[in-house]
Amino acid sequence: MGVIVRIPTVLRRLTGGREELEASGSTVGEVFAELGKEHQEFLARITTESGQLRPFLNVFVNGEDIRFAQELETPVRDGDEVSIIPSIAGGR
Amino acid sequence: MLAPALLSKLLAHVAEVYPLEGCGLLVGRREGEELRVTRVLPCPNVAKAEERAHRFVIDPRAVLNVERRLRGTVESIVGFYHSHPDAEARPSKTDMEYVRLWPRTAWLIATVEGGEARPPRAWWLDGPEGAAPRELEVRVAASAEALAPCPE
Repeated sequence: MGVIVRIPTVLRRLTGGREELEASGSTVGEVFAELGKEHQEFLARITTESGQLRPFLNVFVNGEDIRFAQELETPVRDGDEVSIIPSIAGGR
Repeated sequence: MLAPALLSKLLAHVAEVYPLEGCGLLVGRREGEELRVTRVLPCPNVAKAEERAHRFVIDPRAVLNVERRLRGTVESIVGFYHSHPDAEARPSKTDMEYVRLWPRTAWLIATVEGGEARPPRAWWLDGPEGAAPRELEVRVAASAEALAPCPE
């Protein structure tokens, strides 16, 4: 069993409609890169060319926001759950 | 579609926080072509304090927690709501940046004018690249539904 990545609705068309994917890796960034081998456009939508997380996306590992950990260097283990949640904001 | 009690809850929330913007989640299910809202979850506006009169932010952790609780059920987050204090209830340019991140999700916007909340209007984008959101009809019909606070 690898790391489970839950895909938000807005990105599911880039993952063949799948709500979750499984990949291996020792950090969040490695897991995303692994997924990117099969889903290049998905990877491009969540990370910049310089390998940073794109704005307006929030990533949680087992419910913990990676911004308060080590960003994409946050370690993960098999069985962990990575959730991607687009920001919800706006204003008049 | 949402029940009168849920609409009242939503309007009371955005009126209460006036002149700041109020916001929250809408939980429910699809019934054919219709979205039925079964729960209105008011959330704190976590935008910077000095910006809350013209901007709202919902803590993504609230979304995560709700999605986890709903996993395996027939319900999901079907929409969001927020208020436009003394402004028109249609998506602003700022709103649209985020509406595009949540296609096929209802965005309810309520004008609050002088502290009085007006019935919300609902907007919907078919896809992230959609040019403009279309307006949905908001139908209010009686049914027994739950009210709950935004989960931490």
